[in-house]
Amino acid sequence: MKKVLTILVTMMLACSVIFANGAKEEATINSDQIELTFWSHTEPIWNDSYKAIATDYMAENPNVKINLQFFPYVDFESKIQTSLISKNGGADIYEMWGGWGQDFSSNDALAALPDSMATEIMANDYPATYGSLVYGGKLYGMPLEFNSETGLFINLNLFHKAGFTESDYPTTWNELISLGQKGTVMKDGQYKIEGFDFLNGDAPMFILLSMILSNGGTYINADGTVDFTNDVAKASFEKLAYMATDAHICNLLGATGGDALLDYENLFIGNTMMCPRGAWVIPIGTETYGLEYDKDFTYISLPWTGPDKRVVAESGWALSVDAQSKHKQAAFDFIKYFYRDDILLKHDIKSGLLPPSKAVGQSAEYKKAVPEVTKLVASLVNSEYIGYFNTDIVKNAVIDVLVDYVSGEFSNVDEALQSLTDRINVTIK
Amino acid sequence: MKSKKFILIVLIPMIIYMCVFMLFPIIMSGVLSFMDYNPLRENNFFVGFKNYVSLLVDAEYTKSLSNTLIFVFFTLVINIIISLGLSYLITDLASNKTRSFFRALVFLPCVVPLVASSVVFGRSIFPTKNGLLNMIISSLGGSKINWLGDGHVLLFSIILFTLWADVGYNTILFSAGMDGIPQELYDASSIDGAGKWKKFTAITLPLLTHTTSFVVLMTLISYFKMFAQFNVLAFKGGPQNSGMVLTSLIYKSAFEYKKMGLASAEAVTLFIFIFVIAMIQQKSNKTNWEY
Repeated sequence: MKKVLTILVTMMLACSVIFANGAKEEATINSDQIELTFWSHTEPIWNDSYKAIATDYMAENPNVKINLQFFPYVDFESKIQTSLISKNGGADIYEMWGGWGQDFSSNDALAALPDSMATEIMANDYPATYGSLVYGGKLYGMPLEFNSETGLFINLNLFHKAGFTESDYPTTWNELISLGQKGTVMKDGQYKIEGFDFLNGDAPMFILLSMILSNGGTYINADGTVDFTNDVAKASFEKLAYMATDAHICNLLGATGGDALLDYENLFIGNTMMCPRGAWVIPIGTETYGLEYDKDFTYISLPWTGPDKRVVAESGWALSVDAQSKHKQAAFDFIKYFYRDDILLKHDIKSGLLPPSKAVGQSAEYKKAVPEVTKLVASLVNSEYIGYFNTDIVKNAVIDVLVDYVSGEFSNVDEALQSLTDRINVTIK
Repeated sequence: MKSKKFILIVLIPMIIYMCVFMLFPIIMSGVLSFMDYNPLRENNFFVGFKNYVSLLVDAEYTKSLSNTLIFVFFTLVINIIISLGLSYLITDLASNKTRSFFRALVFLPCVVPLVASSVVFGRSIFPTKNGLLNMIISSLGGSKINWLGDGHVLLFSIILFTLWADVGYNTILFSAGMDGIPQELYDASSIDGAGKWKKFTAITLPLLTHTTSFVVLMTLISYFKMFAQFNVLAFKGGPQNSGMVLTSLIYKSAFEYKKMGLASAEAVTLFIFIFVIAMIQQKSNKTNWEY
């Protein structure tokens, strides 16, 4: 009796497993329904745009269901990596940061875009937008934005309170520092208002590298490694260090994690007069903080950092397809749809992103919708691709070395710059 | 014989679970530590002891190791002192209800996930400008402290937070241990004229050896593995990597630098540290008595 019972239970279990799998397979085959999983980091305004685009796409393609999933930014990279490693899960489409795309594309974890799509993107978009997504002549993602942190946010209430008007908008780097000094308010030895808080996660790297190029220097060697030990780099780094300390325009909290709020959040609540950020912060000011553009705050171009008027740009957010996806073609079709000028335009306007495509960025519709960034878009022509390295690592290295240098951890600037060079080169393949 | 078979069958799921989720990862971690391993790559290479050798000269690793040891030592010692004191005070209370109330009160922070409480501390208690701690300090006439952005203060802030979050757990364990000590011993010592301090040092402490041994071991292992609060409170490891511990370095090597082999070598050294310290601690606390 016991044996019969055991056999019956075993058979039941085996059958349930077999039929469960079979049922799943059958559902996929018979229904002709394709479900695409799309992963993005959590950013409510962007996420709303993705939802709207996915809804429109599903209406046009009833056999496709797009399952959008959002994850906190801090865990997003490791989540993507873990899912790519598993080769059996995760998403079909990933919102991919350029620097991460480098690591994943060079290991065949991502699917290369079809040649026709790649050719179109490379012909239409600014080179900086896809530079980090190219590997072995193939393109591994469709850029969603032109990533540049070369705009300057100004809290107009604080700006006017400090006695400035529109005619005082800075046109040179020294004017900017001087405005920052005049806008800074100290109380009991602490910064009550920071005049120009440039110590966020992105800006120090952009400013340093742009300053080096604009002053006739270079930071990249022929073999792709970096070198910050030259005189121009040294002068640029010292200027950055001066801004971080002796200029008295901001404290170090933004670079060390000592503040609960980010620089632009402080600007929107009236603790900071100016800060450099990308245009993507504009909708955060208007929608999240309920502020009025050109009344409460404005956004202008950052002055050039040197006589050569050169500025670096990195490959920002893009859409990539998992190499192991069972629905690669459907995923590419969605990306192709997303790349349509009208869709990309809609997404970039809603999300406050600078368009990666020259045509979209220069279009009358875009300029009409976001006139405030028109001047900025014009300056993108002068932008240069930052270099084929993970910019997240470079950003961290610049901030760490800068903070260590101004805190007296290095005996001199040469030692600091040698450390910066070594720290970055050890990560460059 | 039949009962042995039954025991074996009952244990099989647990043995499979332990092999798949504990033993196998430990062995794999050991194997990967000898490789230049990137799971996304088709071909990975055996590099011998290269990853271990690189740790010897890696300043980031040395800093993380020293931070880990400092954090574990101070947090453990302070935790034991506070939780012992708290549990003694609570056990000494006459009313059962009052005892239960205070036990629940000190245990409350342990119920909150570490990540959640870390975020609350990071966003509202520690911030330099408008953090609760600095508001209190300012109102008392002191100058603001950069709790999370100053390399000399950061580790102390994390220790402070960890103690708040964790001290209740050990307090409950010590309380349970104290409740198990026979009342007759205290009565006899009272007749001999022993005061509270004498009772604590001569009866409570020695008879809590089993509990203390267990508490120290579990706390030690748990502190070596702490990650959540370092990830949240130490922004990118903190200034001069002052908040970087081995667990955060392992995460950084694996997910930021994509060096799984190196991360595995770091994990193996962490495992060895925990194993050796736990063994020494176990040996030194062996007791053969009971009451």
